[in-house]
Amino acid sequence: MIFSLHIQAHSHPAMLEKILQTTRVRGFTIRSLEVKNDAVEQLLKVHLTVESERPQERLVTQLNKLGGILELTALHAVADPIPAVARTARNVSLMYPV
Amino acid sequence: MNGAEYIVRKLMSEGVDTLFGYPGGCIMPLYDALLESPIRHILCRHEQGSAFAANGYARSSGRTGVCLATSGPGATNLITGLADAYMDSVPMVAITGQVPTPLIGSDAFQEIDMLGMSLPVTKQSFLVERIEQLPEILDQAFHVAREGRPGPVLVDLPKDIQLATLPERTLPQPAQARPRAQATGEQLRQAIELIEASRRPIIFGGGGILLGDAIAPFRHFVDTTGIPAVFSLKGLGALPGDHPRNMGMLGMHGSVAANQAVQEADLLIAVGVRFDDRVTGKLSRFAPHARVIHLDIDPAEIGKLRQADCALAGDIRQHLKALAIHLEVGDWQAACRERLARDGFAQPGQDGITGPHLLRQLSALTRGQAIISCDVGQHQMWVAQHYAFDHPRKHLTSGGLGAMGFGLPAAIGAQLANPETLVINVAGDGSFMMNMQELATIGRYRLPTKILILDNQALGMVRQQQAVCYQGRYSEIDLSDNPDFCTLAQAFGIPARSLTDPDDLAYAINKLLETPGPALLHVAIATEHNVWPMVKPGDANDQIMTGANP
Repeated sequence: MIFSLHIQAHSHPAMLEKILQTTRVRGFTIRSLEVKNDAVEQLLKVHLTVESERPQERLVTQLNKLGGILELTALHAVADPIPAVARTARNVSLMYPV
Repeated sequence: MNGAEYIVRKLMSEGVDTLFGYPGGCIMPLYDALLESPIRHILCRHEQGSAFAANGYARSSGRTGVCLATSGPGATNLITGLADAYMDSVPMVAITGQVPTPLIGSDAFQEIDMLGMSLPVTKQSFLVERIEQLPEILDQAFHVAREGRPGPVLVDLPKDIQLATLPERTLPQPAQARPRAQATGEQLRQAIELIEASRRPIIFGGGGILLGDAIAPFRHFVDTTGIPAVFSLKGLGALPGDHPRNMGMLGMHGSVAANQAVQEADLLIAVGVRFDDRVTGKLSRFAPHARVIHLDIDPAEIGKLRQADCALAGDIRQHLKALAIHLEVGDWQAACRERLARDGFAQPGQDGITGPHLLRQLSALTRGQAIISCDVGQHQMWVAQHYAFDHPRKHLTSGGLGAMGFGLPAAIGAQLANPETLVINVAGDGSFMMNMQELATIGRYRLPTKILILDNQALGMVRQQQAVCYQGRYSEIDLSDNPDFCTLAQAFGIPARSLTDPDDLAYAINKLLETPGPALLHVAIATEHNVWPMVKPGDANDQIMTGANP
């Protein structure tokens, strides 16, 4: 699944690193990245396109709780959002393949 | 007032009475300011010891633990303690010295990018770049550490910032916690419908019960509904050990009874848990017949690993109160009781001194009321299985990170936070050697902390997995060249004795507990004894092995 995120965050030192590190650790590969640092508003504006077999909620909820994140919008999703395991397991709905 | 003096005033305004640390070049201005403060500084003998001590202080008191270190190696030595606090959601603030701002990025002596290095193991990290930022950053640091799901925060503090002059200003008030999110009435109604429709409900409790200050509402919920409860390592003590609905620990070294009850349940009420793999075993076969109600302060945990049929994100205290309804599940209660009597944790039948014998005796003699600070390994699991905690705050254990060396310094922190309480470090020989330098800290402050070393002359848990999963091909687990632990303790001025005769078990433990001040009891146990039951890594919990020790 490929989807995009638009993030506005405080322009703290290491804010961008934290976003990218969280993205990597949670199992998402970055397809493209656009960053603007608004010096007047002290805002970091990040447009991120990522790919993973894991559902986008897995990343969105983790990014959303980072200190300094002001706004986060998942813009669109491409491809099947249902992981393969969830389709085959009975009684158990897994959020990502094991 | 300079930055260092401001920090001291801020720490006092936050109610910090104890700091754990180790001085060095780039944190000297702060240590100089501490000389005029009433805050007690505990000099540990390694920065990892400082971090674990602050961690134990926080876990055992519910207050924020604070540790200090200098730049470079001092700061990097904190990392394991911060990672442990991050994994187990412990509120901590670490303040690290940094080279002066003009030197940052110049590869100066003892310069390391601590801000970058700490990012994966902290809830938030700050670098103070200008003195004007200091008040707000410190406010945020203490607020973030405590708010919602707690965790560690790092403040990296260049030396010139500590020395810079800050205009006199009113000290900010301690940050107030934000109102916690609440589930909607519709979500609560849905949860009640699921509970009412269930015939085999089970409660799965975790560390979030304590962190959410929800012990009383949790016990009320259990007593009102009558639903049996199983616990993760961090949930132990949320019900008293002898409570009729308490089925003890589940998971890799949980009881057969607890694991089977979960596998048969038709409803899993998960309270403050994160479905850790040590608990669930093979996730796709965990609680296969159960619908799930998940209560947690952290929305990111809900649905992360197991999809919830009903998600109640927010304050679990309020949600537990709303869900406390009377149920008729007498048959299921009886089945669980019967199963627990048959397949609960049993004392092993073999002669000699074993971990289970020892921990049961310790539990009985302390009535489950001591603070037990564990290290990591077989002894840690025997504590979880056989010590009947009456409150989770008394069980200090490195659950998520599984950090050997945690127990001794964490016990120091707990003892300082709870000077009137019996604090016991239960250690394995391998773990004890990882931070044994903190015996000097116990000796220096004459802390009445007791130390119990279960010495099997091996890395027991690694050995066990090599026995079970690697056909007995033992690789680098032999510790038969351990030092004489009693002589070692005595070198730090700590009285010590060894237990070898099984008939002296109760006597030796009593002697340990009765000794004024610190004391150490060394207990030799068999190398080949394993922790049973056991679910092999990757197996499902219904594939639990019930081996027996020779």
